[in-house]
Amino acid sequence: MRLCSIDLTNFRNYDRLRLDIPDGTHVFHGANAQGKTNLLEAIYLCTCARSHRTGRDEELVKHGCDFYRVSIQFVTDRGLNESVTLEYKHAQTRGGSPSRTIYYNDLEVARLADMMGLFHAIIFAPEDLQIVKGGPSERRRFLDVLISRTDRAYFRDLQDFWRVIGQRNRLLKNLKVNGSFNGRVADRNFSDGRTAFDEDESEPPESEMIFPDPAAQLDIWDEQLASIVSAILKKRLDVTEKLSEYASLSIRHLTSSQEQLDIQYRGFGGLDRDMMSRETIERLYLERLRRSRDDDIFRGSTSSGPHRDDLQLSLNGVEARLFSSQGQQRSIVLSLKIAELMLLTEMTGETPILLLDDVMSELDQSRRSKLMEVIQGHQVFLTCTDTAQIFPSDQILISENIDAAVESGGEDNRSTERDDRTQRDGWTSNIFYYEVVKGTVKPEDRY
Amino acid sequence: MSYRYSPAIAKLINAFAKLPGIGKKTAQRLAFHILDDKKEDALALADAIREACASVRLCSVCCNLTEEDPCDICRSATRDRTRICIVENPRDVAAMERIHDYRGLYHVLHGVISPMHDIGPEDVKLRELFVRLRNHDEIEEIILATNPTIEGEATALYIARLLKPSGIRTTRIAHGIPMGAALEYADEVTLSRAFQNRQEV
Ligand SMILES: [Zn+2]
Repeated sequence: MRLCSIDLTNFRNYDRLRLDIPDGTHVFHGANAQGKTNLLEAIYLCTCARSHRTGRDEELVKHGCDFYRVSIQFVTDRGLNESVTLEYKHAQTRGGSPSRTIYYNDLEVARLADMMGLFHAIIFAPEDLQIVKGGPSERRRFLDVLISRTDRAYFRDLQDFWRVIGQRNRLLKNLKVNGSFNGRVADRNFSDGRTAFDEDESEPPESEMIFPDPAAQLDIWDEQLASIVSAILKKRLDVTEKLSEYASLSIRHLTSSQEQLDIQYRGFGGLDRDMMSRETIERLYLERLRRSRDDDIFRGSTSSGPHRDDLQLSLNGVEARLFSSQGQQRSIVLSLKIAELMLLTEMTGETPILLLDDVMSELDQSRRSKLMEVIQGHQVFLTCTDTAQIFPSDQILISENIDAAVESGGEDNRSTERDDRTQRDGWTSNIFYYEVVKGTVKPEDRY
Repeated sequence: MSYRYSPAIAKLINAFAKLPGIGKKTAQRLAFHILDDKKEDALALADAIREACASVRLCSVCCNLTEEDPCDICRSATRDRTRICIVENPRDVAAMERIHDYRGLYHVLHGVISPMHDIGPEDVKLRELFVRLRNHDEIEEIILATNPTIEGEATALYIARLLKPSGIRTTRIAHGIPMGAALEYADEVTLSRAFQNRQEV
C-alpha cells in the first residue's frame, strides 16, 4: 500500500495542508510542537478512525474551528486507486451531538465498522510504551484495534458488546434498587418461576401473574451477552496466540536471542487458550455469569468479561510490566509492533504504510538497524527533531546508499558487498525531507 | 442579550422543537413559515392534528393505531386468526402489510425492552398480548418480528421464553434485514425474504 496525497483542514495546528507524496521514505523534521506528529496522527486516523493519542475527536479540531477534515489518497498493492476521508463537526447546538462522517472513494460509509481494513498504516510512537507499562485497558485496546482492522465482524461484535453490557449493568442496578435482590433471585429463573400460563389459587397481582421474577429478564441479557462474548474471546484467543508467536520471534531477532517473550490471554477462570470452541466459551461464560449474579447485582456491574481481561506479557518468565527495565520494555513494544505488522500483512495481503514517530532517537544502534531491516519494502513516514538522529553518519553515506540501490536495481537485490555502515542504515528507497514549522510543511530539495 | 420572541411565537417554536429530529433552528424556520404566509394552511394543519388526536386511539385487541375499535385488521373476516405477528410499532405493521405475504393478525408492542431507557416488560404492550392469548385459544403461532437490534432481539427472546409453557408455536423472522437497520426502512425484497425464512426459537 502506498500513500499518494494527504489533505488536512483545521486538523490540530494545521489550517490547510495539501501534500502530494511520491513513493519512498519521508522525513519530517523540526522543533517540538510544530506539527510533525499531527501529520502522522492524521494518516493513522484513516486506518480506524481513532487517533493513537486520544479517543476524543474534539481534541483534533484546530482551536477556534468547528470541524476538521482529513483526506488521503492511496494505491493498494493490487493497483487500485482509493481514498478515505474523515470529517468531524462539533455539536452545532448546545445539547446537540457532534457528527462524524467517513467517505470511502467519495461514498459515505454508513457504519464505522465498514471503514475498518480499508487503509493500513502502523504507527510506532512513544505512546506505545503504555502497552507494556500501562493498565489492562491499554493492552485490550491494542488487541481490539489489531483484530478490528482485519475483521469487521469483530468490530461490530465489540459495539454490540458495549450495548449489551450497558443494558445488563443498568438492569443489575434496577434489580438492586427495586429490592428484587433477596438472595434467592439467582436461583429463580424461567424454568421454575411462574409464567403467564400458570394457574395460581393465591391470585397474585396481575403484573406478577404475567411477568415472572424481574431477574428473569437478566437470563435474556446473559444469553445475549454470552453469545457475543464467545465470539470476541474466540478471536482474541486466536490472535493472541499468533501475536505471541510473532512477537517472540521478533524479540529474539532484536536482542540476538537474549530475551524470551511470551504472551498469554488472561480471561475469566477456566478460559483456556488451547483451542476452545466458541460453544464451550459461551457455556463457560454463561455459567460464570450465573455464579456471579448475586455479586453482580450487589455491585451493579458485570464482574467478568472481555472488558476485564488482560494480556500478560512475560519476559524471561516474569511479568514485564513489573520486572523489566526500561530498555527491555522498549524491546517488547518494538517486537509487539513488528508482530502487529507481520499479522496485518499476513491477514490482509497488503503491505502497510509505516509511521515512525520520533522512535529512532530512542533506540540503540543495534535495535535501530534491526528495525531498518523490518521496514524494508514499506513506504515510511518518520519524524525527528534533527535528521542526524535518523542518519547519524554523514550525509554522503546516504547518497552512496541511494546510488548503491540504483546500481543494484532496487531493494530486492541487497548486495553483500556493502559495508556494515551501509547495511546499518539500509535506506534503499528515495528519501524526501520536509521541514515542519508551525503547521506548515516545506519540502526540501536536499539532493 | 439574545432577541426574545413574543410568548405565542416562543410557545410554537418550543412545540416544534419537541418533535423528533427537529432542532432549534428548524423549529424556528417552521414556526415562521407557518406564521408568515398562508394562514389557512397552518390552520388546516392544526385541524388535522386535532382531529387525528381526537379520533385515533389504540385498538383494544392488537394495540395498533386505529380510528375504529377494533381495527380493520382485527375485524376482517378474511384474515387468518390463528397467527399473530408481534412488531415494535405501528409503522412496522404498515411495512408488513406492504409485502402482502402475511394474512394473519398483529400485536403492536409500542417499544422494546431496554433497561437503559427504563423500559421493562411492563412498559410495552405485553400484558395486553397475554390477556389476548388467554382469551383466544385458536391462536397457533406467534411470529416475533421485532427489529434485529440488541433490544429487539432481547425482547423477542423474552417473549419466546414466556410463551414456552403455553405450547404455542413461536417463530422469529429470519435476519435478511441488515443488523442495525429498522424494519420500516427495509426494502421489500429483503423484508419478504426475511419473513418467509422465519424460524422456530
Ligand atoms: Zn386491532
